[in-house]
Amino acid sequence: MEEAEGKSSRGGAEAVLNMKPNSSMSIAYHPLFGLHDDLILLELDPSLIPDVLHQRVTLRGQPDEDAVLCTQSKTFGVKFVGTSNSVFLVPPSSSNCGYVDEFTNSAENGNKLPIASVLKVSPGTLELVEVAPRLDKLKLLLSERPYRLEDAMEVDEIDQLEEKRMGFFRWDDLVQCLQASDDELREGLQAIHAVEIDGYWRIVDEAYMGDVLNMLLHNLVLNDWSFDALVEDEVVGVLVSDGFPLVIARHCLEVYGSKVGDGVGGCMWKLDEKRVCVHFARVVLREGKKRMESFMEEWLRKVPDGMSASFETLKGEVLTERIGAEMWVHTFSVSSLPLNPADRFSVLFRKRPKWEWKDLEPYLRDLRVPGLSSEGLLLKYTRKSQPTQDAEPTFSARQ
Amino acid sequence: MEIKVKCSCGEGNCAEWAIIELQGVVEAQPSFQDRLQNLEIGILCRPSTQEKYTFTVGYHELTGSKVPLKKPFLILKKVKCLDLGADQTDAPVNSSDSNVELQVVGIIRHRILFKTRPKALISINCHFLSSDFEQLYLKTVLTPAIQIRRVMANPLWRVETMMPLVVAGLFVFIVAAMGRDLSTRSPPFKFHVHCK
Repeated sequence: MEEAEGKSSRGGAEAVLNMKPNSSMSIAYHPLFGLHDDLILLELDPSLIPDVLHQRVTLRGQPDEDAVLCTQSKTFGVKFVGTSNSVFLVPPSSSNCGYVDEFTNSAENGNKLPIASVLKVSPGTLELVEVAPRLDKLKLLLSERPYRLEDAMEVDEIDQLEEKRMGFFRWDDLVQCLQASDDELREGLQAIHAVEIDGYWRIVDEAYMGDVLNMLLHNLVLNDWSFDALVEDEVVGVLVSDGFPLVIARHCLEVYGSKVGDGVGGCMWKLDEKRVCVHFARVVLREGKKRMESFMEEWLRKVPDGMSASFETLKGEVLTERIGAEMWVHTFSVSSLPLNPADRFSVLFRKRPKWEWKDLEPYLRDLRVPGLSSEGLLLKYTRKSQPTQDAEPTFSARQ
Repeated sequence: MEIKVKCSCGEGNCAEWAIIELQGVVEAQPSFQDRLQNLEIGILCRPSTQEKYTFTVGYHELTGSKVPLKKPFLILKKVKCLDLGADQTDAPVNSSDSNVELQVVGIIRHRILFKTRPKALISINCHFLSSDFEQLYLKTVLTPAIQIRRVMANPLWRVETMMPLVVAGLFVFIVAAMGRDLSTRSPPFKFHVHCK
């Protein structure tokens, strides 16, 4: 075997990776060979490499949780996979990586072959698998101190002590507490109708939001506004003059409406019929369950003129049960259920041991698990039974 | 808490490291355990234009090849930056309070993998530099027929305390696994076994 070309004894990773045919080199322990616990290997899909190199990636979690890696919009579970193989890590010979091999770089070493040095034997690598963001804690955290009428009445609190702000969360606090990417966290906040007030993310008390909505609807009739073409500035102006804070007035439009475009007086909004009707159904059922007939009668009375309310729109928000000969209705909202599938199915099956698909589907609509379709979810978490050919299949818990 | 992943190399400039991977363990004689630095492990040869390689360690010769990694590895270095903020106290820094960062120090796109059983070289024409058998300080143990992968959770927060456990565990299992059916497993870890 011929020796490698060149008289230089420089080696390093580049020499290993570019070995010429018919050449040899010596592999030795690096002068700094050791445990190097601070060096970790991370296996990455090539599509994620630009995100890492441009510093858009972080690890998030509490010390007692499994770490997750977050890009701008995705969350990945991190697992350490140990190997029984010996994985020798060879750094490049250039000095900017910090592991300069003085021994082989000097001209005086007696070897004739180039030397590549092993800095560390790696016990394993970190591997990533895409997961759904872990946002169940979010609603819990923000529900500790919901924004109420009293908060709106508080005058300037310039000299308020920091301690009083326990249970209040800024964006950065949420990032520290939760395991989700920035985009997913923002979507999560929107899904629970949180609003940023004075830099703190808050959930607004439902009854208080109801008051704002009632005022809006009252003014809608008074001023002969249309459900589909509300002018933001007009609506907000009226609500503020009725005593509601500006941010709450705007938030009311976000919660019960959707933007339809820009116009002369600012943005144009339309009220969302479903969301408004669901709100009034919840108001009627606030004290507890009701018989179907009385529920329907009260509900239809509360729903604003011009909006049509059908029981169908309440799917995923209320449940019916037969007590004796009568049908009763009570609140059971998909928004109150856990976001992770295992806990959600457990809550659903505790509520009712058997579900038909038409009743179950609205409570699964917002479940997202990367890599698992809705059929896959059902297969994993439920047991399907169909007593006869033409009977409706029912789903129950897997034991 | 949040650990940022920093990179100062810039795209395309990431230093490329290499991996030489053996399906087995290189064991040093006990008297050499603590002073391995600078000692030669073996000779790596590329006999032809193919990406085939031989690695000679002691009197064993392994054959393998250079393969690109399906998914590249990044080498991250855990760096503790002590936060000298306005409230400087003398209290020891709690690991969850100090700013830990991960810095990208390199990338690995290829490895030279040796997974065959080693060939014992007994002829005098062997070409390794550390010649005398009596002075051999390294030998390969017999390589198991399979690679064992073991999945563990919670890697980053507790990686320092887990290291000795992992290494000790692996040694036990390599010895135990040789030639034996791996259907008996010890909890609590899950095994992914790659059979050939």
